[in-house]
Amino acid sequence: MTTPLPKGRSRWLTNPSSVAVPLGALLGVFYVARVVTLPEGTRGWFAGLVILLVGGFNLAADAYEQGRLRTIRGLGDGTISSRPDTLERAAREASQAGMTTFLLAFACLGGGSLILAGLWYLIASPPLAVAVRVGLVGLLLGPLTAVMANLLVLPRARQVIEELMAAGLSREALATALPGREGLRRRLVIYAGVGAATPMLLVADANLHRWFALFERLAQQPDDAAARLVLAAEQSAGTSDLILLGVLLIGTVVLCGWLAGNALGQPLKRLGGETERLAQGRYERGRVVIAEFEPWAAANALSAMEAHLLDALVGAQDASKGIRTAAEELVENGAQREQGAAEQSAALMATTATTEELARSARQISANAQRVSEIARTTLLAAQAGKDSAEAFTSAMGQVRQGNQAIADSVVKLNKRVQQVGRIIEFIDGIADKSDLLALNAELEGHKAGSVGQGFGLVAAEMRRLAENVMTSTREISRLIEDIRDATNAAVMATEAGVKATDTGAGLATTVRDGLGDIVEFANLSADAMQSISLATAQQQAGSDQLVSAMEDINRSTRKNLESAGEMARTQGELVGVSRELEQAITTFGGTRS
Amino acid sequence: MKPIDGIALCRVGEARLAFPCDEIDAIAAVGPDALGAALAFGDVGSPEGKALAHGHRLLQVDSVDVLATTALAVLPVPAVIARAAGGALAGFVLLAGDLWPIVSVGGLLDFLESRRSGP
Repeated sequence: MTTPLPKGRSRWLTNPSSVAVPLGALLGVFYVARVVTLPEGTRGWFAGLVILLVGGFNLAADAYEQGRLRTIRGLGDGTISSRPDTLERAAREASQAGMTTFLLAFACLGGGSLILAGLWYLIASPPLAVAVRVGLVGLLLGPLTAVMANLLVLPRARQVIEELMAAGLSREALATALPGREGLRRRLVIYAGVGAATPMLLVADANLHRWFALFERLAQQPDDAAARLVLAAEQSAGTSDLILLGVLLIGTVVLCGWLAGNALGQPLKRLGGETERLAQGRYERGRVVIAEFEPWAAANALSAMEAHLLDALVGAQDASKGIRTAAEELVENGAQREQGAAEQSAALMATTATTEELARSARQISANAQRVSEIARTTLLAAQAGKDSAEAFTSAMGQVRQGNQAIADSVVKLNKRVQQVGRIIEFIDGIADKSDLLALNAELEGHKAGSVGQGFGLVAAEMRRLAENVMTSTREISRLIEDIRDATNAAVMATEAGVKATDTGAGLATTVRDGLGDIVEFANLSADAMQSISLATAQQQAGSDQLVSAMEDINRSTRKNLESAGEMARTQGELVGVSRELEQAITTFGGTRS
Repeated sequence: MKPIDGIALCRVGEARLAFPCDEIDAIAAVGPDALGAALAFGDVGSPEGKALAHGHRLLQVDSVDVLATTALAVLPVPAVIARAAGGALAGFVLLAGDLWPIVSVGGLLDFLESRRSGP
């Protein structure tokens, strides 16, 4: 929010010079009127010239000053827009206004008095010494008037610069427009010198003039009595004029001193106020105390310091907010971490229990593996014994097969013999049958022969009975041979079946032997594998025990972590409180982002 | 009837036949040309047995026993039955309680040949 520069600020700024110059001229006229005795007939010209020159110089000086302040005038009239460059130029004009006024006042008084003396001498022809004294009075009063005008203009110039800042002039542009110069000591020396020298010189001039006038009158007296009368008259004439002049000069000097003190002290006072404000922490961006010379450097540095402090405070506030936000996040994260640590602790507890269970299982597995390994070795031994038995059984089966084969061969031979016997029996039976038939025919023939053949018939009958007995025996033998043949056939078949069974048994025994061999091999491998498994399970058991120990360590660490998380959460909560207090403190010190 | 000397007691299946030894030339083994006496009973008969030779013909019976007893009394046969039997049945003899018909070998062979040739 900017405020335009008020109208007429250039005129208001130069008004003190318009007052100071006539005032100085009036003081000079008063001094000349009281101290310098103007010749008769020249006083009118003197007064006219004074008025003319004072007015003319005042108008010329005012015109010059207005020309020097044209940017300020344009900003006030609105003919010049408020831009950074115009504001900076206006600030530069305002800052130079004091020196301009000083020089113009000095020029008006000093130069004006010399011009007055010269014109007055040329026009009214006063004594040259009087004209010179008039000119010297102006030269003596010129610095005092210039100082007074300068001291009157300085506060107004500061106010105009503050108004320019309100109109948008930046502090940086103001620092550029008002370069810091170390001239305060010189300026004080000038003020002191002018303030002390001007009254002294004027009083000395007045006294010297009076003394010279007295000496001249005394020298013109004819005797001592007349001289005493002159001295008495001089004494009776009093010193009222001199006292009045002195008072006036002292008043002028005091006024100058007051103005100087005010002009120099006001910035210092404001600086003190600003410093106190800063000490109270009430920072405001863009505030600067307008001053000159070293106070300006101090004010500028103070403003820069305030700006830097504000930046730092804003940064600190941002940092504080960031810290608070981070702390709050830390609190939240801490709570989550605490919760996570608790969950982790619970999970680790469960994991520890599981690990212990795993370790127990590993120990049980190790013991089982050991037992299985022993069983595997026992199985290996049993398989080896079985293999040996199978081999012995196979050998025995081979012997049985050979025996069966021998039996079969014997039975076959027996069968052949029986068949031979059968054939013999059949032959005998045939013979018996034929014998029977022969005996029957013989008996028949015997009966045919009658009584002669009766005995023959009896013999034939007996032979027939023998033949029939033989045939009966051969039939019985044939049946026996048939039974023997059936038995031998059955024996042969049984023997062949036995041989086949023996072969099958031998094959099975071989298969069993091979299988047992494989079993032995596999049992051996199993025993080795179980040995390896037993070793592995033993190592696993050791690893499980170590894992249990490690899990217990982790569990302890997790519990400590949980405790630390809780402690950290409390610390973070305290950190949040501290960050809020810090943020509140920074806000209190004015650290708000503008 | 005049007693008879020497008969051959033959069995054909369950039947009993007695032949006079005089009509039997020889007793031989069964051959393919023998006529089975079983045919007279409507039976095929056993392949084994003996053959009674009568001339050049053979009569097959299951078994033959020669009875050495002489002068066996022959029971007469009614003429009707003898004619009905074709003249082959000559009478009966009683041996050990069993009645044996006495059959002519030649007559039985004729009968059998007539049966084989058929009407």
